[in-house]
Amino acid sequence: MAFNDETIVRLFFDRNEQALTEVLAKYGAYLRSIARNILGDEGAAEECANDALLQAWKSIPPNRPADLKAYLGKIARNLSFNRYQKEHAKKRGGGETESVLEELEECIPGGRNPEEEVIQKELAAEINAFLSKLPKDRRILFVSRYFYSDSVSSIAARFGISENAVSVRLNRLRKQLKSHLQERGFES
Amino acid sequence: MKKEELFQAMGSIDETYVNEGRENPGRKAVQWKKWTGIALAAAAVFVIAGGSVLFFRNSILTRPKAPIEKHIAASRDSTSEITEIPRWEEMPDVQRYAELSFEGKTYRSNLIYVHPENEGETIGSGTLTGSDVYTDELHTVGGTVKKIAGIRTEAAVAVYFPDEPDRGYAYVNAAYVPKTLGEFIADVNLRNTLKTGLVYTVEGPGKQDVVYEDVPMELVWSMLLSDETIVNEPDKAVGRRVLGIDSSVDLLGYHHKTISLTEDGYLWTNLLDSGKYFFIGEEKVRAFLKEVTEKHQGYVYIYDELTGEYDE
Repeated sequence: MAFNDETIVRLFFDRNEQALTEVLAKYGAYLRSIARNILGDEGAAEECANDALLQAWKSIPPNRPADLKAYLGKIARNLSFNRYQKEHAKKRGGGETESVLEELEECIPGGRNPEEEVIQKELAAEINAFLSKLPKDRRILFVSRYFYSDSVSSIAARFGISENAVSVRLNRLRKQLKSHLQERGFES
Repeated sequence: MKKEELFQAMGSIDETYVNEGRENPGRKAVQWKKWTGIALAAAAVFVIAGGSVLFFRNSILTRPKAPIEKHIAASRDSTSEITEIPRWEEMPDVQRYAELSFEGKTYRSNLIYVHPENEGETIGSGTLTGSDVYTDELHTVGGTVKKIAGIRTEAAVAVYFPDEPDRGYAYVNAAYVPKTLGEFIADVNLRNTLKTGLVYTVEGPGKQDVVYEDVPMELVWSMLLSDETIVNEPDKAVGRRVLGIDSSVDLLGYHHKTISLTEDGYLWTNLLDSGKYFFIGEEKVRAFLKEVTEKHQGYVYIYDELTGEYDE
C-alpha cells in the first residue's frame, strides 16, 4: 500500500531512507515526465528525477512541504531547466523547451530589466494573480504548456480538441499575460 | 526581461495550480455542474422544509461526522464547455470588444447581460477595443456607459453598444483592488449580490475534498465577513487552503468562484478577478471549520461514469 504524503514527509524528517523509495514509487513517473518534457531525453530525465530526490533529501528538513507532489515537481523542473541551459550552450535539446521559451518570449513587455531578485518574486506573484483569474480549463491549459512543457499534441489529446485550437487558445493566453504584466508595470 | 526568467518564474507558481495542471480538464467542469444541480436541489429541500428548518438543523447535530460517499452519475458532456473560438464576424459586439476604456480605467467584459431593472444612470461614453485572434487586427468602437444598480463604478459599469442601445453588458474594472473588506462589500453590493453554495474542506493531495451541501450563507456572513475594517493585502502570499466556499456574483458574471480560508488565517477570494486577501485570524478559520464539519454532514462525491475512463 502506498504511503500518504504526510507519512513520507515524516520519514524524511526521521532521516529514514525509505522516504526515497516511497517517493520514487509514488512520484517517479511524474518527475521523469517533467524532466523528459524539458530535456527530451529519457536517460537525462532519469538522472534529473534522481537528482530531484537527492535535493528533496537535502532540503526536507528543514523544509516541510505542505504539498509534496508540487514541491518535488518544482524541484524536478528547476533541475531539468538548469541542465537544459548547460546542455543548450553546447547543442540544442530535443524536448519542448525551445518552443516553450520562444512562445513565452511573446509575453514579455519591453523595457524593464528584472535583474533584482525582488522583481523575480514580483513576476511570479503576478503570474499567480494572472492564473487566479483564468477559468479553470484555460489555467490547466496554460500550466500544462508553460509549467510542465507538455507538447501541443498531447494537450490537444487531453482536452479532446484540435492542435490548432490549443495553439489559438495559448496565443490568446500569452497576449493576456503580456497585457497583465504591462498593466502592472513590467514595461518601460 | 528574458524568456528564461519568465520560464523560471513559472516554476514558482502556486502549488495548487501545479497540481491542477495534471488534472483532467473536463472533470472539474462536470463536478461544478453537478454541484450546482445538487445545490439547487438542496435549496429546494430547504424551501419545502419551510418551518421545519430548525428541527432539521437540530437533527444534524446527532449525525455522524464521518463523510458519506455519494454516487453521482456523471454526464458525458464533460468537455462541452470547451468550445472553439468563433471568428470575428460570427461574434456579437460584447464578445468582440473585451475591453472598455472609461475615465482612465480599463474594464473587461464578462459576457454578461445587465437586466433592465439593474440599469442605472448614464455616466458617459467610453472606447471599446477588441482584437481578432485569428488576424491580430485591432478594432475599436464607442459605447454608452451607465451605472449598474447598486454597484459602484470603481468595480463595474454597464456598456450599451450603438447597435444594441437597449441592451447593457457588464464590464468589470480590471485593476479593481478594494482597500478593505467593507469597501469590497459596498462596491459590489455583496449583501445583495453574493450567493454562496457548497462548502468543501480541502483535504490535500491524493485525498478527495469533503463537500457540505447545506451550510447557510448567513453563517458565512456572521462568522467570516462581519468585520468590515479588515484591510485587503493584495500581494500577500498566503498559506495552504483548508476550505472553499462556492461563491457567485451572477449580476457581474462571476459564477462558481470561491471564497477560501487558509491555515494561516486568511480569507481570500477570486471574485472580481484579482486576488483579495483579508486576514480574519486563525481562530475564525478554525471556528468556521469546526462549525461546518461538526454540524453539517459531509459527502465524498464518487463520479461513477468518470471512474477509470477519465483517469490518467
